[in-house]
Amino acid sequence: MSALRILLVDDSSAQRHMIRHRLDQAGGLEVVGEAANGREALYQFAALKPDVVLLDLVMPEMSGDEVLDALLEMDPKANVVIVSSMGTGEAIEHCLQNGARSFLQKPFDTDDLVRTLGSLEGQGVS
Amino acid sequence: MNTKLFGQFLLEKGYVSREQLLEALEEQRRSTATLGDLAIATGMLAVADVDAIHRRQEEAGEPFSAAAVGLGLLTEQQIAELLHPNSAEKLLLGQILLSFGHLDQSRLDEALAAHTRRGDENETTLMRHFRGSDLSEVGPTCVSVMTSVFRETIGAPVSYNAIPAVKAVSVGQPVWAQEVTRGLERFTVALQLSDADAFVVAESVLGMPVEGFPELARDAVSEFLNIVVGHICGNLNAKAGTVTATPPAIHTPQSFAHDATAGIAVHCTSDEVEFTYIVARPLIAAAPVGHWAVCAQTGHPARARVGQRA
Repeated sequence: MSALRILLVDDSSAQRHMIRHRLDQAGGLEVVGEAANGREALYQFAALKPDVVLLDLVMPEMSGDEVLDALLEMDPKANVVIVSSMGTGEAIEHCLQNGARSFLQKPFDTDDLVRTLGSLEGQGVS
Repeated sequence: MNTKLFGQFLLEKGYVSREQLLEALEEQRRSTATLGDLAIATGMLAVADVDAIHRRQEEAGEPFSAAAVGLGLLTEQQIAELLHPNSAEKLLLGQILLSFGHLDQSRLDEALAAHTRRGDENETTLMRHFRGSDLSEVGPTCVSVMTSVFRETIGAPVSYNAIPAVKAVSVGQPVWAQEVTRGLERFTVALQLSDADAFVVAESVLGMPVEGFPELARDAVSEFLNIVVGHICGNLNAKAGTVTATPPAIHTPQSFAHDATAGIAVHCTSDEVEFTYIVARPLIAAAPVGHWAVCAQTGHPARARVGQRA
């Protein structure tokens, strides 16, 4: 089975660095691109066609909510996992209802990350 | 206290699927649990106890909590636990998942035990410092989140104590700060640590060595504070109103102006690292002379000599 191709979207370079490092360690998962804001994310998504987008919720210019809507407009089957420290019940429910496949709250460990991505593979994402 | 909401925790750890959680959250929104329901769900009270409390309520015209305490069936501390929004959310969501058959009792018990981290006595003591101050409502939430994220992220055994915010700012050590707004309320959550300790925190956050990359280390500390503040916003949001926060900014000790008379600093120490969180009101204008003190030397404020700002 080919590696799951992932696009990281987060305005924090440290956060992107951390997730990339953890995915490299886990194996079977390939980071194909990084974006520091919503516009870059949309461009990279169109160009790279990743299997999964890991999307931060709080970003300058375009919020994660807005990026989620735009991604799903570009591809209604886009697999988006929200990654955020803003874990209110309302935020989680809102994102899941708006089409996000899952929600990962910071801080998380490698097991949480791999388990979340694994559950997407179980749902036929590849 | 585990800062992650119970639903998020269940999803992340694979206890429930996305669809099951959504279904339960929708049901939770439609439901309201009474204090009696929650007390039964936690095993604090039996159904007969709740009936007795209701009878006393009718006879004496007392609220549930007063009647329960009056009958000696619950303590004030137990009432406070039940009233905590996270407890209510957790218990109600657990009961809904049970009723839908998405979890059985043993899996729910296991999840509740894994999610609940007992706050220790030290944490309770820290919270007392906010009593009577104008941060008395938001302060305890901040302390719970700070100490919990510190434990979860740094991983090593930790201890912490409170010092007056007035003594918290050390010369020569940068301050990472974010301003939180809830309605008309505004306060600052800040973090101060030495360059050496910044590397330790950054390596804990990133899970990899960052020596030789000071910019990345500073960015990682910003992200660390952002996580803390995100959890504070999430926990305050569960209580009332919309809560927002500015992005993290890095200040020099001299440019970090805060009203230390209404603040507290939480000094956290582990085998690896020590640093200080500060919760205080921001000042619109620069602090007047002598209004707040800074440490007269580098090193940790708890051990440094404290002098007045010139």
